[in-house]
Amino acid sequence: MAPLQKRALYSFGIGLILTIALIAVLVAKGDVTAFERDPNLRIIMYAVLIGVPLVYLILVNITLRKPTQVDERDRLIIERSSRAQWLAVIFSLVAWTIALSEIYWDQGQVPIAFLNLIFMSSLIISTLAQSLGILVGYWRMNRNG
Amino acid sequence: MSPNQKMSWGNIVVWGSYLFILATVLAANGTILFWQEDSLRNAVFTITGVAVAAFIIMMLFVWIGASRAKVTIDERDHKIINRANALAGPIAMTALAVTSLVLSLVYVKDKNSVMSPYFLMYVTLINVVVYWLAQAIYTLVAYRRS
Repeated sequence: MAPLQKRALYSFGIGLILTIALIAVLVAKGDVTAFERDPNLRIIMYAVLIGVPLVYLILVNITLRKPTQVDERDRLIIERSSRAQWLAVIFSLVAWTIALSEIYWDQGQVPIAFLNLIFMSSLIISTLAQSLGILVGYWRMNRNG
Repeated sequence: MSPNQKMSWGNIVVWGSYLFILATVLAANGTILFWQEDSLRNAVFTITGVAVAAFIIMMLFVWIGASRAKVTIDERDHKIINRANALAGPIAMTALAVTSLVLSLVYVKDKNSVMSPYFLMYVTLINVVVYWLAQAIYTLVAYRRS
């Protein structure tokens, strides 16, 4: 396994665990307005928001500085994974828009707390998608030769 | 001119015009809350619909043209488009962050704890349009430099 591939796998795994923990906390709280009322929930949210990109930054960017650790193929995979990253963000935004519009259409108003959630989830999904894009890139390259 | 360049020019013309016309219409009406008036809402939907249709037609023209001319995409084209995607992503994310921040500030200032579902469409649309424009501009600059 290439160093970049290994680190992308760790980054994706840690990011996924943090995200699942966050979703569990949000579901346990039951209501999105808890984000405004509960400072502990906000701290957890901010920790995950900073944690997921930080894990990626440390594992994939900072510790992979030596030129011998990353070759032309790795750079190509990183660049290609950006496409997956953007697509994941767009699909998540579209999903948020459709879901919230349908749920709150009758009231005609969506709680403002969702705006924070949308932005934070986009950042987390973006980082996870980058790691996943790298893993898929290696998988496709190994499969196609 | 390669298909990437043609598509980039198309994106700049379509989405640049779209943003310009949309900004002009909203400025002329003095509001960004377009859904509050039927005529303005219809105008925004029509402009958006025309832009999407123009984008699809432009893509089809480029694709058919490239297929007929049997244009091959080489290593340089791949490199430029990959770099353009890598650059456009963070720019679009920044646009998303700025939009979310501005909207939050507007609503907090107005002491509102709710927003219209239409604002979510705004946020998504801005992300997509900014991404395509950033990608197109970088692609054209990269071809000019190489």
